[in-house]
Amino acid sequence: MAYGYTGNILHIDLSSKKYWIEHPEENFYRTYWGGRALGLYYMLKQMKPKTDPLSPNNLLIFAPGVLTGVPAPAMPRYAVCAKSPLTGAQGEAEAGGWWGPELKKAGFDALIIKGASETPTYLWINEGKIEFKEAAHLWGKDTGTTQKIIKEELADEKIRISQIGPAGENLVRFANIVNELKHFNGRNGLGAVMGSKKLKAIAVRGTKSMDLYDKEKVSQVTKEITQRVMVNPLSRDLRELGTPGVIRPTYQAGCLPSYNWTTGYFKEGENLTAEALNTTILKDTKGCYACPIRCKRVVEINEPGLKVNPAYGGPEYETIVSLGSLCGISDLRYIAKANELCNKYTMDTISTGMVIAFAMQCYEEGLLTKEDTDGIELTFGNKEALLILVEKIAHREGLGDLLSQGSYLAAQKIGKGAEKFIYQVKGQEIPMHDPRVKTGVGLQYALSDYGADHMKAPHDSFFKDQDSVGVKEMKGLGILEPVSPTDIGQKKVTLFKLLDIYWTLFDILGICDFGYVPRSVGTMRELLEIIRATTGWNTTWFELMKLGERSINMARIFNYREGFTFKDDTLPEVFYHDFKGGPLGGQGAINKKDFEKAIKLRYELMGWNLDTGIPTPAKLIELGLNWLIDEVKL
Amino acid sequence: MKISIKLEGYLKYKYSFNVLELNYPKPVTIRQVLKDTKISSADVFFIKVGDLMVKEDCLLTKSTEVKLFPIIGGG
Repeated sequence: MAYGYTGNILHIDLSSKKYWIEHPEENFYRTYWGGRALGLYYMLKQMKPKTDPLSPNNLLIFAPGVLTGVPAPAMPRYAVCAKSPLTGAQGEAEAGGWWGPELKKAGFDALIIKGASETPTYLWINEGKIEFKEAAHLWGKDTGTTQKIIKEELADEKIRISQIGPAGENLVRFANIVNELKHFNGRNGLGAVMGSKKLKAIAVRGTKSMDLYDKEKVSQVTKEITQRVMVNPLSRDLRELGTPGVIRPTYQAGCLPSYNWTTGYFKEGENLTAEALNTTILKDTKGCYACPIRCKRVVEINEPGLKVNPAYGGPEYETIVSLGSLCGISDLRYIAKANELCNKYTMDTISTGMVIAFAMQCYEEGLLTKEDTDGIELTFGNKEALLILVEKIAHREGLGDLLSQGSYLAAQKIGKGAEKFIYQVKGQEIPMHDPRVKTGVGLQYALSDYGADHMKAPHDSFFKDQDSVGVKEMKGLGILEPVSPTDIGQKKVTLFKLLDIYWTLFDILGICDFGYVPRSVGTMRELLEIIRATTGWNTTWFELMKLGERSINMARIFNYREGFTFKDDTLPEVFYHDFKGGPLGGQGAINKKDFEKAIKLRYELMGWNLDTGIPTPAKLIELGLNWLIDEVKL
Repeated sequence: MKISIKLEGYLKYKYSFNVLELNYPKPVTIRQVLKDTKISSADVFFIKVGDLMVKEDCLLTKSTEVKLFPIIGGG
């Protein structure tokens, strides 16, 4: 068995309350490695096409990577994979925290969960032993309460718990999964899949240390990176401002998503900045397992009616914008409270903010009335309404029930042209980065196999000049020249093919995007050294990039089986029009024809059929995916 | 002509100042100002003069404040 792995994959059938342990051979690990690639392998092998995502036949897979739990910077992450109830496509979301490393210390490289329990249950994985525990007393409880009760009844404070709150139980289509109350498998509604299986939580405890090939080397590289964290401006920025550091440049530039994407100009933007957060509600900063960067914010508010418990962490950039400017709200206290509620109930904050902003616009345009909103004056800027709606969505009450289906389905039900106020790709609400200033991000929104996502590739800004960090530090991938952030020609398409594969690889290995180039301090050389020192495999960037590409093709095949076509690789129309108002007003539109040409070129570069976007048999053979050839002959 | 350069975000850490004032006897491009202050354009994503977004080739003809914003990534 290779180093870095336990050699055990735990299969659980919740219907029969049985489990078994698989011991794959080394070549299996060397082909799929872990994370999303391993998840996709089981989804393609064991799940029939057109499976109802909320049925017992959906799989729910928890998959750390080979690096998850290595005591090196930014290696805490694990993937959760399932068919998404929000998109109907391949679903996945990665989380940091401590749960992934703990699962490996408990003796498992992955959990493959099928079936559904008849009554609420939770899993207790303790040093390799498995127990199914009754969870009726936890059903309906928020995450903080659930964590407290489980730790008390198992009598161990060091247990790590991955769980869902009421939104997951109530099958909100953008419910997420959380570990340690503040680390989320955020998107794609995977918490609803967990809820459909009546699985409230997975508690894990393990003390076995990871078997590394060259522990000394890992320690040496870790020391080198750690010494530079406060010297490197990118990692220092993450530590001092966190992701909210993105807000000031974005609002000053006039590309901060505001009022349901009707403008990028938000007059009160200064109230939302990291600098404002740091001087008002910030209590502390935190990090994930073994990571020296500590980018996580912890906020606290003690005002009556707005109390925010620091145990639930604090809002990220995406959250501040989606629950803030996007809804016309500039009061950080209310945004922090809404964030806390989302975290307690386990709802993705991007989708939550997006459906509320959508409903606000529908109300302002007369598509929804007070009768539809249960009497709420649902105008942009109504911060009390924000908190009420978060509650209603989580509990699926009144208008909240409609919005709990996501903006795509909600718009269909509202009708009357409501679909022109939604902004989604493959059914998933778009994140808070405007592709008009970063076209590569737009390409990734359109092509992402699990719906619009802002972490599918590093952003364009890191490659804008010859001296940019991406160009200086990533020559080993063949990135030799800069490309303008707003370019949408051949150079951009070629660049983002590489970047897509590169960050997909992070989701396979268990690495955080905020640890290594171009977003942060660690170099490609250091990353490769850690991979080799962990596994003992004399791997190369060639092998690793093929691994990333393999998983992208597996996802593409999964989605093809589910009926997705090239028509789903699109961007919302708003991005083909100029910004309205603010410093960028009257400029910025992406040329639609150029964008469509770029998508086609990407198909060709990927070895996909130019007209359909489906991987060719030759591409599957090249990637060792011969077993999927029959799928493309359908 | 007094040109005030204001650094935002992590540019402050990298270049170890918040605001820098420079005097020029005649109009100057922002590109030249960046060169004079040894600020790499690779680090700068947006440039703002007053309420306007401008490019490095913008010619500054009177005393003004130039705000430089760092590159922004995902988050």
